Amino acid sequence: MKKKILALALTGAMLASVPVYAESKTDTLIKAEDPSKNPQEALDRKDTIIEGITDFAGVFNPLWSQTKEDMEVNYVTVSALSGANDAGEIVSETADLTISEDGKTYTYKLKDTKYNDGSDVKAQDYVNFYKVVADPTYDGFIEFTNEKIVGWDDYKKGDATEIKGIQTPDDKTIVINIEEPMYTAVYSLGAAWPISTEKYGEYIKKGDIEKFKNVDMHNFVGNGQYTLKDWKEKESILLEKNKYYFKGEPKIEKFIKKVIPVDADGEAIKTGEIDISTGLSCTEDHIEEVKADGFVDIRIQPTLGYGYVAMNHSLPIFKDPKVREAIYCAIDREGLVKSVYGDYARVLDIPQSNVSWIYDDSKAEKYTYDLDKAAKLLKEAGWENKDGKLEKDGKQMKIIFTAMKGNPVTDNLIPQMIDSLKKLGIDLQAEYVDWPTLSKKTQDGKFDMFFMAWGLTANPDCSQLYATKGKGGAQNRLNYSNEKLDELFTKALHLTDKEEFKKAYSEIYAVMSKDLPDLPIYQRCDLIIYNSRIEGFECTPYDGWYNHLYEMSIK
Amino acid sequence: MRKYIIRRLLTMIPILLGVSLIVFCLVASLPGDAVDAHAAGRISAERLAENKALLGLDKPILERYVIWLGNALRGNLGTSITYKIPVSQVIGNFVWNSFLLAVTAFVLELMIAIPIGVISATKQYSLFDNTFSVLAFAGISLPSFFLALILRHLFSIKLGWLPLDGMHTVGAKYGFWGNIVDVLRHMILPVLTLSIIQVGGTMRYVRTSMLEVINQDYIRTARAKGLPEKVVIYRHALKNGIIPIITFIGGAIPGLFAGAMITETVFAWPGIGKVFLESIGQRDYLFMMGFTMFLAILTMLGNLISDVLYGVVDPRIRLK
Repeated sequence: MKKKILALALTGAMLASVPVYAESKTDTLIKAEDPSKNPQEALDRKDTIIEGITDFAGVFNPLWSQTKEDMEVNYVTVSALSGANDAGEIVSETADLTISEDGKTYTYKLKDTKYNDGSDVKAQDYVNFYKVVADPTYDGFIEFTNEKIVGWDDYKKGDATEIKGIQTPDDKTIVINIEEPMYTAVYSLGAAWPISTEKYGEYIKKGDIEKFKNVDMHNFVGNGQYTLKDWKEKESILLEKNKYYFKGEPKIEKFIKKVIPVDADGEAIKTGEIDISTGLSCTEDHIEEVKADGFVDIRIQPTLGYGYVAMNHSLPIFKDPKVREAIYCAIDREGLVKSVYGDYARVLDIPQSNVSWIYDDSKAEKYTYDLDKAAKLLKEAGWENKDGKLEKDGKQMKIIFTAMKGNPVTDNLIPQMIDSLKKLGIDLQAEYVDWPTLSKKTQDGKFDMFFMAWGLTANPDCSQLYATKGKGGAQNRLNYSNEKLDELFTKALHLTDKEEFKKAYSEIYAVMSKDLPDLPIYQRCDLIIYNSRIEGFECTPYDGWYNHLYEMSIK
Repeated sequence: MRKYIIRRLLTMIPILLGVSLIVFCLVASLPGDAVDAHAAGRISAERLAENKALLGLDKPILERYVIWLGNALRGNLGTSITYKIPVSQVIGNFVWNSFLLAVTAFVLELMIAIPIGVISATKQYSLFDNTFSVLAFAGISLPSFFLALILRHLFSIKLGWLPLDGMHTVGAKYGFWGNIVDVLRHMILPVLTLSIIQVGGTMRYVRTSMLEVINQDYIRTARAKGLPEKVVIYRHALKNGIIPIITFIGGAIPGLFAGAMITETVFAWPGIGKVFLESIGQRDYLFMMGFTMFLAILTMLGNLISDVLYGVVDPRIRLK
């Protein structure tokens, strides 16, 4: 993948004025046509690049960060044990991993890495990370659900003062024991980053991590590419290079994140106020606007995430898979994608990004917009259309669709669904709420149907969403339950071989596409725009540009 | 007078308690809470419940109110869930940025509105009066985001004279005076937006209050005495004509600290208005409480100040 993009970049440079497209518009690099148009304000910044962001909350302790923007700061201030490559496969970052035959022992051998103050990173420092997460008073959002680390509960809920399953035989080795093999443990365990024992060790005591939670993040001792120097609330964040970064000293001295108004990214890059933006939605209009500037490189790539329609499986009407399929057939996904995103999105059949190594929809059922089929399925399910009303036991099928207002997708999707379901005799009504309300309703199971977009990570596991509650479905909000799928998940997660895991997941996707726990709708694109004076800008969905900051330079 | 002030201050206490109870119940009974807003979809149902318990969000509303009140009386407004710092610190971080914009716009607004309002009143239905009446209504009816976007497009993008947004030029190293000039440059467009929107209303207000005075008997008497028109207007009429403006200033005090949500958002100005608006969507209820109470206190103090000033400048009003 990365090679392909690099090749594209080269052709792009040679053909200069011709926009180059890859096999589809959803994975494209468009090189600047006229870098000489670069505004003076940008050219004057010789040692600094500025990214435009729309907001940040200033919670930069990575164990407590909540917002996307704050977390994006963490990506460069600390480096974890493992990372992901272009296909979302796990790769070594600060440590090399070996897993025992039985899949229960994970041994991380640390590379020689230093903190930004020049001190050495030690194995014990990573243990601090796990200890904070396991602390009974920890109220951040990191958790280990699938993988049961030996002694974890004794630490979290009992009297143990150490986590028995996490050992450091020497300064360079971390050994983690889990109770049973778990294929996806590499993703969660490897997310640990070191907390300097020398600097912060005394703040981390079991049951009392308040001091670490409130630690001053200015000049935080981390092992990432940049050091957090300063920030002005709601204005800007200043980061300076960490000359001890283990992959090589970054070439650009300062990295600034600046708050700009929502949707002003195009204007801000045009005037030279910022160099990089990822905030614009990927539409033809935005792309044309930026292209016209002449000096901006444009990277279009599939978003790590997808939009879906979900229904409440505890309601009798949705218990029948035929009804779910009928509703799926009544959604014009192609039309929706075209009208909202044009060429820059695709219809999605399984809940996974097509750039992931695990993606395999070969066995999955494909659905198209087909109202006749929908009507037939509903009839088979025992619903009768009487005078334009779809009824069973004398009651019309009524659905309340909960969504957030002001989203271009739901603004198009809901009228279309109301219209096509009306033709089938179903009374669909929209209910618009704000995010916390929607979130609460779904948590409590108080909904009929809703639309949401879901972000993906490199971790391919989706059992938490679709396995039965109490059987691995820790985040199953739809009350969905399918014994066969539960079995398949359990079997897959306990595998240790990669190919077998992929095969098992192909099976899982096939079952899901027939039984339809929810209805995947689309996967859109990200629009990443950056000033062409930046060299070495690398970016793929799993291996974002943040990871490559240290390689970038200014022309 | 002193008794009056003390009495007014004392009556504020039950009012504030009532306000806090009502606002707390409203805020806390919004559907969803801060954990739902931030964490849902990222952590398991079990962990979600744990987090709510750690933040005390699982307790009944009244119990939470009593805890909040107890802490607030001791000067502790709690910790903002979004920013993870004390609420008072969040208010302190942003309120002065908003105040700076608002107070500058307010002064500018008075400087324009009072003279034009007075002249319009003295030359009622003249070309001058009609022109400014039309302009005033145009200003009042302009949506602020629209005006802000036009100003930004014209002065920042087309002409390139002024910065696009924000409060400081990031990455720039200025000295003390350089910094002040930099902030002033960033302030021009938002201040202009706020002033243009508000000046029309104030102008009409001054004009009406002046007209009322000009039609009074003592003005006719002054004219009948043969006093020059200038003396009649600027010595006799103006003094009484601008008394209502004093109430207006008192009433404007909370507004100076409340922030301008739309203008701050369009110009990415780090003000409290934007922060407050976002806090609702994040269900940051301790911040919402703290800031609402802050505004409630300011509103009551503002009213008290206008009443007291009224008594001071207008001998016809006796405060008891």
